[in-house]
Amino acid sequence: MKPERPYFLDNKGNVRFLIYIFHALCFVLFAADFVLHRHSYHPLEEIPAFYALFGFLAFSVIILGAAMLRKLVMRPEDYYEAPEEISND
Amino acid sequence: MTDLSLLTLPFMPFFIAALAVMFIASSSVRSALMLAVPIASGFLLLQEQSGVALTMPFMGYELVPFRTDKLSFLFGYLFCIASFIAILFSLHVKDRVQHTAGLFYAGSAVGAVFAGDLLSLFFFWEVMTVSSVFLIWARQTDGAFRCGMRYLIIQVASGLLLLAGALMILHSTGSLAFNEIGLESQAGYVILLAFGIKAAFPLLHNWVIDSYPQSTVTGAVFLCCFTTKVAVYALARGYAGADILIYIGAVMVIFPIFYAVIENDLRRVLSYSMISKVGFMVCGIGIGTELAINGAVATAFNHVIYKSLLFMSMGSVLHMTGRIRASDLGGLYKSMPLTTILCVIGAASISAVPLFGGFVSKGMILTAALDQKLDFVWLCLLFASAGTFYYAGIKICYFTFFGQDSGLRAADPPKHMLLAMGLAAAMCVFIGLYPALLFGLLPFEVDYIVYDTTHVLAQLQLLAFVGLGFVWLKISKLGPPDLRSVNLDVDWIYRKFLPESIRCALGLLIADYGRLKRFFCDLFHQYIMGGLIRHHGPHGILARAWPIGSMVLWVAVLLFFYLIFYYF
Repeated sequence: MKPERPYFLDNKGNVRFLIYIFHALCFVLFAADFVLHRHSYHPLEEIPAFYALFGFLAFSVIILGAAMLRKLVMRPEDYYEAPEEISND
Repeated sequence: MTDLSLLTLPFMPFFIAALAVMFIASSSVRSALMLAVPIASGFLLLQEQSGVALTMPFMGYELVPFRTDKLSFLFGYLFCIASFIAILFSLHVKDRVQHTAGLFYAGSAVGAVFAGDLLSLFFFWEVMTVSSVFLIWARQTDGAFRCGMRYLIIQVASGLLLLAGALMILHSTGSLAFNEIGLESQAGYVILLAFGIKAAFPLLHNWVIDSYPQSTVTGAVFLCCFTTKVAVYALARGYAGADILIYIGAVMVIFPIFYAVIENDLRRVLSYSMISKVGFMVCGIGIGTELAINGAVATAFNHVIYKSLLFMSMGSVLHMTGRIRASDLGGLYKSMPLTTILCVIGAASISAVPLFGGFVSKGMILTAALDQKLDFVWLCLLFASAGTFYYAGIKICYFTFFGQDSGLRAADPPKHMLLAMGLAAAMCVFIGLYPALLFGLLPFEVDYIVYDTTHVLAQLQLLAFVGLGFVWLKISKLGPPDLRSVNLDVDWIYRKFLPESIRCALGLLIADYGRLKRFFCDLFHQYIMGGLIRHHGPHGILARAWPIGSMVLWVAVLLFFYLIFYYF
């Protein structure tokens, strides 16, 4: 069989490049808060880059919370009944 | 209006076609008919004007099976669009039962949002229940059958509560009209519970998680569009401004996020996501200001479009690869490029990325919460927005189409499926670019600017930094892995706890429980089943083919005795 052609994301360099671009984008958005005027309806919103910080914090809470929830509720797949092979119809 | 106009009501094309497709063997004729149905129904809707009502006497009461206003029109158009997309997606299905069920289901949803009284609403509500369960059973596995039974019991319970509430209202007010219900009376709470089951309120939500992932690939697309949205419509009409809904909504937006993150079955992730999004709508309805109601209804509109797009893309993956667990998938962008792009558009829309549909409506509810000084609720909604981007934007797209290459190489799905997804994706983008079109359909005048620096910058920052968190997690290789598992939820109570405790209690109470159980089983099999087989089985007396003549003879004998009794 003919070997598959390498795809864009198979190249580690490309992935690294995308990650750099993404970090740059995050920096620009963070900095934009100090340049552009963002109207505040709530005192919390006056914190510089509030939404960026909130997004990061929310993500951390979700990951930690999910890890704890998993300890509490995760059971083997055949807990209720043996899993059926999924048919594609 | 005369009785004849009952035939021109927008749900009629669905019902007539549902019966017709059962008898049409040619798949091309059937496809053409089914696709014409939502168009015909939409056309009938365009002919109607706001404020029209059709009344019908029924057992001494006046029923209103059709009543129009801006709220019902929006949902009516939405359901026509959604059913067109779902029908287009399911054209390859040969099982005619699924088509009939899908058409009855969509048609009764259209009927339900125009029902002007509680009894008509109950009728459509029940048709929705009975038709939709066939979309689950059509999977034809034991698991799907049992799941369908659970679904049916819960949905019928909701219907009975609605009927009970309707009768209580009739008893106290003498009217069945479906307008604002409120929570001043007990009946209000009973009906709220009925709507709450359908809207998947916390603790009543488990049927969504249980049944949608068990349904067929195409059935899930129908299911995700109608039941919960009819409930949102009913809440918006009956309970706008009820404070309790704000807090129910706040819980609803938060808890499914954690479950969605740890869930492995991707259609189950989407089901949790649906509860969270319906929570946004419930919250908006509870806040009750014009902006909030507009936001809730606009969210419902967008939600149907992008959620069906996501269910279609996950359905395509399941259809083409036979797999739906995140732990089995990855790297599908290589062989399914079009599905990848369409799924990314759906994920961008649900995550409320500016220029996509979801962004237009999400901000309205958040702004309304801030206007009403509901700070805590606002933070909950903001938290849920961040969560949505993680489980829908990142988890669904990244783990399926990018991420660790699973080695699966499935092609894009057939053209009609891609076309259906393309249509939904085009609508996501179109609403994002021209929100005025959606705003024109909303029940109240819209005084809200979608694209200003504040909204766009805030949302982009939120999304980017959730993404940044994910990137760092991936780089540090600390991310939670997708594991093959079942996660306990409320269904544990009725699938494990109750059956086990009844078994234990009986075992303790009756020392010889095992023998007693066997005795009853034997009794059942020998006498009841045996008797049934004797009389109704292949050689049973009641299963025999009797000549028509003998039936006529017996009818004549009965009539003869009737006459004798009548005269003497």
